[in-house]
Amino acid sequence: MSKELLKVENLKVTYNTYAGQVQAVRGVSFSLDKGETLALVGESGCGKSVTARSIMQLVHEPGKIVEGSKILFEGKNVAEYDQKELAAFRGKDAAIIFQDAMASLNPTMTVGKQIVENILHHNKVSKKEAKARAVDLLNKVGINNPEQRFKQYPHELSGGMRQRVMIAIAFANDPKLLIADEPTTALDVTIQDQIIELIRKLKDERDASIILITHDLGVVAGIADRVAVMYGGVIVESGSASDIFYHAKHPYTKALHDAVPRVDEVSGKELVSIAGAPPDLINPPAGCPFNTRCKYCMNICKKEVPPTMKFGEGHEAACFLHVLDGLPEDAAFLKD
Amino acid sequence: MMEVRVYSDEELQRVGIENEADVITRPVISYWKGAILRFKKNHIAMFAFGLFVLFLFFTLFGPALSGENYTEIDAANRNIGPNGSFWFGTDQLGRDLFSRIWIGARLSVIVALVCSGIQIVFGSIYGGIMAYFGGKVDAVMMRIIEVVNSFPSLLVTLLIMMVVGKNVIGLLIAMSITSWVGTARIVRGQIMLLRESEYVKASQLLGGGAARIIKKHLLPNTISLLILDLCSSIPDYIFTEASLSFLGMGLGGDIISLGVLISDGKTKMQFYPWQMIFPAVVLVVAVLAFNLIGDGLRDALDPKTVN
Amino acid sequence: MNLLKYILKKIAIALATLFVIASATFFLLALTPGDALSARVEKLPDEVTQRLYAKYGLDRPVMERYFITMKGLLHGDFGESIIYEGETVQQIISEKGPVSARLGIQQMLLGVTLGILLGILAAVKKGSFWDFLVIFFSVLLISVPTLIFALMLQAVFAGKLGWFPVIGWPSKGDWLGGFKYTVLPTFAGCFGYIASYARLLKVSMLDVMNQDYILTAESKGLSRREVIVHHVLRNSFIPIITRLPMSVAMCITGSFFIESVFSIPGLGLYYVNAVAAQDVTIVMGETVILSAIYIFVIFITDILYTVVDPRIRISGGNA
Repeated sequence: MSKELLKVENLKVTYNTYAGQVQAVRGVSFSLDKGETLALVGESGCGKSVTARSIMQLVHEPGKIVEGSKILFEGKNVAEYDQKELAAFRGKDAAIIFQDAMASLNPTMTVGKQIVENILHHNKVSKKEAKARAVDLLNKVGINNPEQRFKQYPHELSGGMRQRVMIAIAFANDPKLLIADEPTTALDVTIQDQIIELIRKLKDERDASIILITHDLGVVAGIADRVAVMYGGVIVESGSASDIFYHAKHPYTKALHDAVPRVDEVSGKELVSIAGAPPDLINPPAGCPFNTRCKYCMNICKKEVPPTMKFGEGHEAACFLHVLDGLPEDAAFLKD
Repeated sequence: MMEVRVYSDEELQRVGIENEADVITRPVISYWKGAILRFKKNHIAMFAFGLFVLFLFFTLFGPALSGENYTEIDAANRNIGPNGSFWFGTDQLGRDLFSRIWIGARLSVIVALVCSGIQIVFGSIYGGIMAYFGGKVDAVMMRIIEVVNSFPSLLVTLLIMMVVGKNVIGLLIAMSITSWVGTARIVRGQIMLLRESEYVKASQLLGGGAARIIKKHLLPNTISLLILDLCSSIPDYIFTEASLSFLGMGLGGDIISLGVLISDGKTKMQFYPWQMIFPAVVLVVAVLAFNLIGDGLRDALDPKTVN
Repeated sequence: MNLLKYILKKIAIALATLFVIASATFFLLALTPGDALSARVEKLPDEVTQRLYAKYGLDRPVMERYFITMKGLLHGDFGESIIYEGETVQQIISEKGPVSARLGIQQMLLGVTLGILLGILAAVKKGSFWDFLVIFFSVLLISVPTLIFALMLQAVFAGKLGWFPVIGWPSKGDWLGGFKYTVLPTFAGCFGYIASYARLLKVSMLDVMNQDYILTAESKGLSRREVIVHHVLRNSFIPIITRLPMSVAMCITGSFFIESVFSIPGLGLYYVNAVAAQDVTIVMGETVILSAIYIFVIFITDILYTVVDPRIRISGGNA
């Protein structure tokens, strides 16, 4: 049996804005085993990026991780780390890459130096040794002429190469956990696959765990072991990749599927976008967050938060439809 | 054992997606309304606004309030200190300083406002033309801006004052002749930026007409920049006027401005310091108020500001 | 586009700009009612007056004078002062330039250094009492004209307390002995720098701190100090470095007001007097030389941009 690396319990994050307090994450719990890949899926603004940043303790003013939230990394609460522990945790135990590699790389520092910085911070090695390792890393992430690229600035590289550099920085110290926050969203489709493939390759080589944040179910299919679907600051359904892809229990998960273009389905079927907008997290609606956009919405859904129900090993969803004696006819596809 | 909850039929009554109108969402706050709200929440800015209102009140009604004539020479009351009838004292000719200061402040503010007005209007038109025509026109007009920019601005101001004469009109021309350059650049940059921006392109694709794009995108963005430009230029003009008058290159003769009063007061600084201190303090308070309001507006007009 | 071509193009533009400035200055002066000699010749007999006018060429038509002046400028011959016989522009600049430059540099060194330190303090301690204090004082400092500072410092520290001389300036070449003369003028002029650089740096640092690459730096485990020193500072210094040359240009031009208050024999004061006296040759010469310095400084600024920010590359365009 695999061992648990990370366990997030009841994570809540709020942002104080002029208009009021945004409850960006409203009690998220999940766990991640060693070597496992978990995908956090959802629309923009559902709280998935904030969840990712919380794990790295990168939530800054005006954002705040609410007290009582637990982020247990190998059993220790990251939220209670002191400066020293945090300095050792970030970049060594856990690393993160972001969506926009151009913005995530320091524009006035050569890419080589940015990798070397991460190596030197966590290892007692000479600058020369660190440079050799950095060049090696650049080579490993598939950058040609690594010696030369080492000396270049981020703006001199292509988008795909910049993301490769970010991956090199992230893997510089063999992290146990890699958080990839929409790593391919800003890239061309052909490059997207290469990047995902690269992340998977490096993960397998180094036996790392991955949390992949994305809004694109297509990306998830290729890499994730388990999937958690987030909506309105909470996880509405989670399960193995096949549970989520073939046995979705939550109407939102199903709606997400219908919004993904698929090659194998030839004409005839239209793409269905999800009508309406995600809930306002300053005044989150009572009950189920999806109630304003769910065509199966019932009275109870507007009053009470649906209970989380188990549908087999590791497959959970929070939806009132499943308390009915039988699903409505038009929702029968949620059955199996 | 898990607790089993029983749901009533009413609770399980399906309602589906309700009309959008029924969905309770936060009221949408318009850009300007939001800006005003943010400004009102800023205590320092509101304090400055209070100062500004007070300043405005005195420049309008101050001379009338004291009941003293500001031009009347009174040999019996020369150089006296502040007292019950002369609140700020009198000058070396026995004229009431309180009235003189507010009369002077009136002129200083009017000069600053008119200059800022000229700067904004001319700068916007110039920048607008540059952005609208682009290409060669833009390049040539940009060269002109570069030339004007390379002129040390105070030197130009002095020269113009010499040509036109030391009067209010001369001062207006001299102070605004180079200042429009900054505004023109801001407006040009903003329009170019907006024209290239994704959301304006999106708006065009969605069939937004030129009028709509100008109203919804161009005006709010440009106007807020111009307001900030205005707030920083008014204190500049008040300063420049005062400094020029002090050097004897600005206003003079019978014309009273804060600069003229400070300059007059300086000669008596050793013996009757209030003759310089009072106009100086009024000037500083006015400029401080403008600067703080400008700061407050800068925060308020940027919707990204988180408070 | 290569560097040489870029520089040549810049020089061509600079020369054209200087030509326009010189012409504009000339015609503005020509438009000014009266002339430099009118006060001097009031009581002189007509014959002498005519000779004087002929000496300075002021009896010739405007266009002819214009061509003569421009020709002189081309050869680096600015002519001699009409008011003070025998003084040339070159002499005046070499005599008074160092005075203004010393004052300006002292003000700038003190002001910019303090401004940068306070700006860092305000940004790092954002939202704290220190931040409030720095911002409050910088707004206050910006709101008080240099002129008033100068007068106040003079009244208090020279007049009342007598710690420093009221007016004056150390004689030529006396760098240490006359230091006390420079203290008050230096302080009076440095406040503007403190205020504007502190605010500029604070805004710039906060902007940089909000960038994604700061998150990346933090995610490497760097301490807050390391993040600020290695990542925030360099990037937030870009606007500072690009504003510096402008400040240098300003301080060469001299601080008219401070020179006037403390009776410092600098360029600024001299220029104001020359304009007032319509000393055409001096005004022309000084304007052209100061503008040339100014243009040169703007050119340096462009180059600096490319050095500090690798994203900007020298190109032939206007951008």
